[in-house]
Amino acid sequence: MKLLQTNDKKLLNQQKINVSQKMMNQRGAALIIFMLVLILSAATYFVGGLSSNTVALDREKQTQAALAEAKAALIGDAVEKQGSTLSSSTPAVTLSNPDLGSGANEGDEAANAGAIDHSAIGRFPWRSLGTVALKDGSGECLWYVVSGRFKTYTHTTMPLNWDTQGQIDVIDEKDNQLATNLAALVIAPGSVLSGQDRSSGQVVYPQCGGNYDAKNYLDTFDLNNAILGNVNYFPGTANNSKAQNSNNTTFVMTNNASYNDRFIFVTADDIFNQVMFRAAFSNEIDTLLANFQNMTISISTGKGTGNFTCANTDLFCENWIEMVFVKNYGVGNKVPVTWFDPKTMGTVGTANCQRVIIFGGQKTKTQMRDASAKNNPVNYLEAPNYVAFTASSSSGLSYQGVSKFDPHFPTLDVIQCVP
Amino acid sequence: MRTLKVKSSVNLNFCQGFSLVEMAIVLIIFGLFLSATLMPLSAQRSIKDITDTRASLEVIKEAIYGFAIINGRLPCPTLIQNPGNINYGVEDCSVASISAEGYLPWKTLGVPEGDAWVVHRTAATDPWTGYWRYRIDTNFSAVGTFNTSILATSSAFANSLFVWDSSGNVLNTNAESPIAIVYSLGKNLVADGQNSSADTVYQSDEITTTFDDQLVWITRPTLVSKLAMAGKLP
Repeated sequence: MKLLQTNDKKLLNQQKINVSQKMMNQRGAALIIFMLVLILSAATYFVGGLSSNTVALDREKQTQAALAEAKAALIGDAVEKQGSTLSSSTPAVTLSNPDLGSGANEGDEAANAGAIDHSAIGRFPWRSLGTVALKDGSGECLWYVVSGRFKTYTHTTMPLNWDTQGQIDVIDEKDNQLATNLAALVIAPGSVLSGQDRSSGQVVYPQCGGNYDAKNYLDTFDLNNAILGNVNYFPGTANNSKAQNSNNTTFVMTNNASYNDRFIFVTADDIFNQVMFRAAFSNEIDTLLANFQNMTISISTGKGTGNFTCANTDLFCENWIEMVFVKNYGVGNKVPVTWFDPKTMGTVGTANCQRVIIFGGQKTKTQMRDASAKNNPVNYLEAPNYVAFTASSSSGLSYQGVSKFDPHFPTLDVIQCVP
Repeated sequence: MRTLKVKSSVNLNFCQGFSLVEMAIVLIIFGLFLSATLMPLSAQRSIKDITDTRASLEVIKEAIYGFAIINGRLPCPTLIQNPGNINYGVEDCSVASISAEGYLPWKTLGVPEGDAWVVHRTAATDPWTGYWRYRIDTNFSAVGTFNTSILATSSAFANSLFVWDSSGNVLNTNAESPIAIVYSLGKNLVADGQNSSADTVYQSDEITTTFDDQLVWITRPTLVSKLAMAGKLP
């Protein structure tokens, strides 16, 4: 028993000595390691917040916001140009010209953007439209291509209305058609790609910097990399900025080593869907149709308007006359016309008419109005008006439509009548 | 078999702590850690304040567009000093209010009353620290003049507001003046450059050590587009 107690004391003393030696062996390494771990964790946290994905998303977000603001300003400006009251002398809804570097100030739209009906590319005319110098996520100012038929000066001699076909088509890298006949494109050029030189020339542009050569911003610089030979500028002209003819041009929207441009489309519908909501627009249609109420000249051509000439100053008439259809039946062969409420489809009036005057409205999904289809009434009039209008006699015919253009139902035929 | 119980008490005679070298190394690392994190934290805080203010300004722009769509005019500034006044933060369309720079009517628009550096006022004598500055063209503050001016081809603007950059370049044309301007004084809480003078010229540019105001403006074409989309164009 005593021997056992002696051994216990020795064991206890040995353990105390071991503890003391361990204490003496502590050199603070654990704290240093702890600090390193803490620092690394903190660094990982902060750097992680700046991961490439987050940065890329933020840039894309900024790009999309800038493109949307640019589109709104462009269309708003086009509508605004028509003035506070629409009248027969109201000009067509034209889009601003690009900034071609020829204006007095950076950001001013060009006074002249090339030959008639020829499209043009330049920087977005932010100053003329009252915005800031809109920039994409890469910090580059936006670019802008306008169809020749929609530009302001020198613009088309053809009618400019919701059926006007722009000359911009867009494909993806597999040649899938993304859009056709656009009125305009606003383009975010993105970061610089191989071959592009975005350095400043002799003139320094304080807001956007760089230069006005579209090839240095829009893709792709190397024609060997072009998808099906299509590049997002007009090769062979000064600053690669003007189309050499009035043909459609195909632009490429994709994302690879040779293309990183981002687009927002501007269609004719985008523009005219805003114009037609002005109360003055439907009033002007009434005025246009009223021209035919007391017209004494003979009805001619497939639409009946062949002998009618718009007054020189009547720009509204020049742009919209192709929507009008007139047919004379005479006092002895009057045809019935029924007017209905587009909301309820209930009848709101009837009359027997010796002359019927129709405004064809916007095209429906099944109607085509390219150049070859414009003379066919079926592409403007709905049943039963198409049948009545193209019939050779008045027997058993009738017309129906609305009495006034309603932007909520823009495809409906508007009918006026000479009793 | 007995279980041995070992006292866990430590003999203080053997505790020597850290050596001076160890402590120095730890302090150096700690110092490096602080300098590597606290400075970026401060910088990040500034960046966040700037970003938040910019985001608020975008919200304010949308609120103003929305107000114009509903009311057919722009909101008037507010000049009411007393936070106890029931109309504090509400638009004031008196001549005195609309004809000069005032403060954004945050209650009317339902937006934050100030930027990232705002100090909430509790008394009429409190300064307007961090509250949005707001200026409108008077032609766009009343229904009648708004309807005429919004689509006027000439003489649309009553005040001809202008925005310059720091180099004196005029960022807008005579034909398309801003119809409203909203700005924050930034971190230095002082109107910088052209914004410091009581006239119709304002300044917008990248933030530098001498200019940190953040400014946005409402443009007529964009408002026209939004009104048209809402079917509210005169």
